[in-house]
Amino acid sequence: MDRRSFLKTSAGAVAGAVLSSSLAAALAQGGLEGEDVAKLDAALQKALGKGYKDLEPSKDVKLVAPTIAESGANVPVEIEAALPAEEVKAIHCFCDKNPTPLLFSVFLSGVAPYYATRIRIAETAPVRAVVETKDGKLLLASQSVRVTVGGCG
Amino acid sequence: MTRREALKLLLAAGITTPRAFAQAMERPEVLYDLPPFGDITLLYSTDLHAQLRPHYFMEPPNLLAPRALEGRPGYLTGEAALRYYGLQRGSLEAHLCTYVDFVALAERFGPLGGAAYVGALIKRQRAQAGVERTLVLDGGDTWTNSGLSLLTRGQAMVEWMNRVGFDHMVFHWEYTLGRERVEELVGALEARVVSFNIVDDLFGDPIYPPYAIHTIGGYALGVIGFSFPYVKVSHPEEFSQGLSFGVREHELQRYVDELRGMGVDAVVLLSHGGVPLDTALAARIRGLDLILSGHTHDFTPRPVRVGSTWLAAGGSAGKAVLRLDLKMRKGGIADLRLRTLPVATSVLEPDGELEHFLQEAYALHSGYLGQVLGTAQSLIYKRDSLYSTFDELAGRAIRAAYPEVEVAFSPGTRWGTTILPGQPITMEALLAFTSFTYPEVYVFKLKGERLHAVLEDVAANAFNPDPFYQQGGDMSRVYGISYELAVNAPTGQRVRSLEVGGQPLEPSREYVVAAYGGRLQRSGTPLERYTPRPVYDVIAEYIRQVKTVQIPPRPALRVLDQSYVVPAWGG
Repeated sequence: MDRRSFLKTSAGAVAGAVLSSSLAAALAQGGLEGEDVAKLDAALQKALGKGYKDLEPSKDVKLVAPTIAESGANVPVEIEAALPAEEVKAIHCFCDKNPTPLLFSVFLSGVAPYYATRIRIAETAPVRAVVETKDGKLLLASQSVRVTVGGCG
Repeated sequence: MTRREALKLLLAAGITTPRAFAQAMERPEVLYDLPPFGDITLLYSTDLHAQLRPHYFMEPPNLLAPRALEGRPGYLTGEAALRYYGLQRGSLEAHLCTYVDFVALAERFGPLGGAAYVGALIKRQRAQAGVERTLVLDGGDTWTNSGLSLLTRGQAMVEWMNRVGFDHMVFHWEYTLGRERVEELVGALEARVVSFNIVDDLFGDPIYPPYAIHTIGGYALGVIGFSFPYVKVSHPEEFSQGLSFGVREHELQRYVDELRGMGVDAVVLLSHGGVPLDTALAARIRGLDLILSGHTHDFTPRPVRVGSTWLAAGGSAGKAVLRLDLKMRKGGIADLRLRTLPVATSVLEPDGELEHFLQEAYALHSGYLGQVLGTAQSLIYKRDSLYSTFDELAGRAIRAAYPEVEVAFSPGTRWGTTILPGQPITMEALLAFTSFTYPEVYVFKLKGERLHAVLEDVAANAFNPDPFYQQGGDMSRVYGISYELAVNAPTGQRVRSLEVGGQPLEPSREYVVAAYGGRLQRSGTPLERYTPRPVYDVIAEYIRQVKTVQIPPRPALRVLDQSYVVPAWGG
C-alpha cells in the first residue's frame, strides 16, 4: 500500500471509531478468547437438558489447563470440586468450538470429586468444567486454551 | 521527577555526589568498582545467543503494548525508557538500554559484549564481591544462534561457560539443538541445570532438578529454574520429543512452598519466562523473593517491585552482566542493590585465557565466518515489534532467489546483531541473524484466508493483554504484504486492510508464499520443484550480487491505535 492509500483508508477518526466499537463488543462478551456460547448452549441442552444461563460460576470448581496448548491434540486438564464427595454427582467437560463440544462426563459414586485426563481441542476456545451436584446445581469454571500455529522468539 | 526521586536514583546507582556523577560519565570504569553490600551476590547473564564476538545490538525502536500493559517494564523503549529509569541521554547506560541516538553513540562507545569480555567482567566481579558469597547464573538462550555455535553444535558455548564458571542455567533455544544433543552437552556442562518445567511428557516427572539450595553467610537461598514454557509450540516438535514444558503455575507454587517449608530464607526464580509473564507470575505466586528475568531481552536498570517480589531483567546479546547484592534477613531479602554493568569493550580488558580459547575455537572456521559478503550502506537491525531492515533484506533476497514468491515471512525472533552504515557484512554477522538449526526456506501455496488467519494468530500471541496468553516473540515480518494493525482490537480483528502486491487480499486465492524459521509451511501446499535451502545461503548469495545493501526503514504497515517510530538509519 502506498502513502496515499494509507491516508485514504485511515482518516484517523474513522479508524478510531471502528476500533472502540469492536473493543466494546469484545468486552461485552466477557472476553474469553474463542467463546461460542450459542454452540456451547446447544451442547449443554443435549447433554444435561440445561442451558448456559443455568450454569453457576463457582470458586469451588478448580480447572487446571494450560493457557497455550503444546499440542491441540493432547491437552492435559484437571478438574477438582472443593465439595464433600457425597454431594457431587458428576463432572462434565466441554469445549465451545469443538465439533462435539461435550468432551466427557464422569459419574462419581462417592469418590473424591477429582478427574484428570487429556482432551483434544480443535481451535482456540474456552474449556468448561461443569460440576453437577446431587441437588441439581451445575457449577462452572471456564478457561480459554489457545491452540496456535506457532512461530517464535 | 522530584529532587527526592532524582536523589534516590543517583543513590541507587551508587553515585552520591554531583562530582561522582560527572566522573561516572567521563570515566565509565568507575561503574565497575562497587563497594561491598549485603550478604550474597548474584551475577546474572542471559540471552547471549552465542554472540562470542563484541558487536553492536540496537534495542527495539518499538515495543507495542496492549493497553492494559502500556508503560510497564517489558514495554518501555526509547525516550520512555530513558524517562522511566532516569537515564541520561547520551550516556553509556542510555546507549545500552535504548535505541536513542544509536548510530552516533555506537561510534562513541564502540562495540559491546563478546565472550572474552563478558567472562572477564564476571570473573572480576566475582573476585571483587568474594568467590564464597557469589553465584553465577545464566538465564538461557546461551548456546545457539551464532555461526560458531551452529558449526560446533553448541560445543563452543559449553566450553566457554565451563571456563567462566557458571553455577546454574535454564533453557530455551538450547533445545533447537535436539534433545539428544542437549543431554550430551549437559553431561559436559559444569553448571547444574535447574528447571521445574521440563518434564517427561507421559508421567510429568521433571528431567532436571527443579531447584538448588545454597547456604551462604548463614542464609539459605533456593534457586528454582523456569525454562521457556513454549519450546514445543515455537520450534519443530522433533527437537523436544518426549518432553513437555508449559507455565505450570500450580507446580511452581508447590516448589516455592516446599522450599519455604524447608526453612529457606529466600527463593529466587531463574526464569526464561520474559518480563510480562514473570511480572504476572510475581503477582500470583506467594513466597517468591526475586525473579531474574530472561527471554524478552528487556533491561531494568532499576529493579522492578511487584508486591513483595523483586524482578530484574538481564538484556541480551552479551551487552551487560547484572550484579545483584542481597542484604538478607531471616526469611527474606531485606534490601537489594542492582547494577546493570555494560560489557563495554572500550573500557574493559578482555580475559586472556578466554581470548586464547576463542582463538582456538575459531581457528578451524575463521575462513568461512570471516568472508566479507558486501557492505552495509544503512543500518541493518532486527529487534522491533513489527518490522526491521534485516527482515526487509531477507525478503528481498528470497524474492531474488524465487521471483514468483508473492509473500515472504521472516520470523519475529528477538536475537540478531546490528550492522552500522559503512560496516562490512561478514558471513558471521549474517549468521548472527540466521543461525537456526532449521534454516530452510520453504516455498508453498497458501490460501488468502489462511494467510490472514496466520497473521491474526501471531498478533494474538504477541499482543494479548493477558501475559499468560502471550507465546513470546515479536510479530512475524512480512515482505510483499501491507496491512494495518489495531493492537487493542479483539482476536481476529487486529489485522486489517491486507494487501498483497498492492491489491486487496483475496480470501479464496492461493498465494505463493516463502517462509523460514517457523512452522508456517505446514499450513500450505509445498511447491515440489523447490528443494529447501538454508536462508543464510539465500541471503549470502543476494548480498554478493548486490555488493552494497541500502535499506531505509520503510515498513509497509500502519499501526492504528499506537504511535510507531522508525529509527534514524544513517543514510
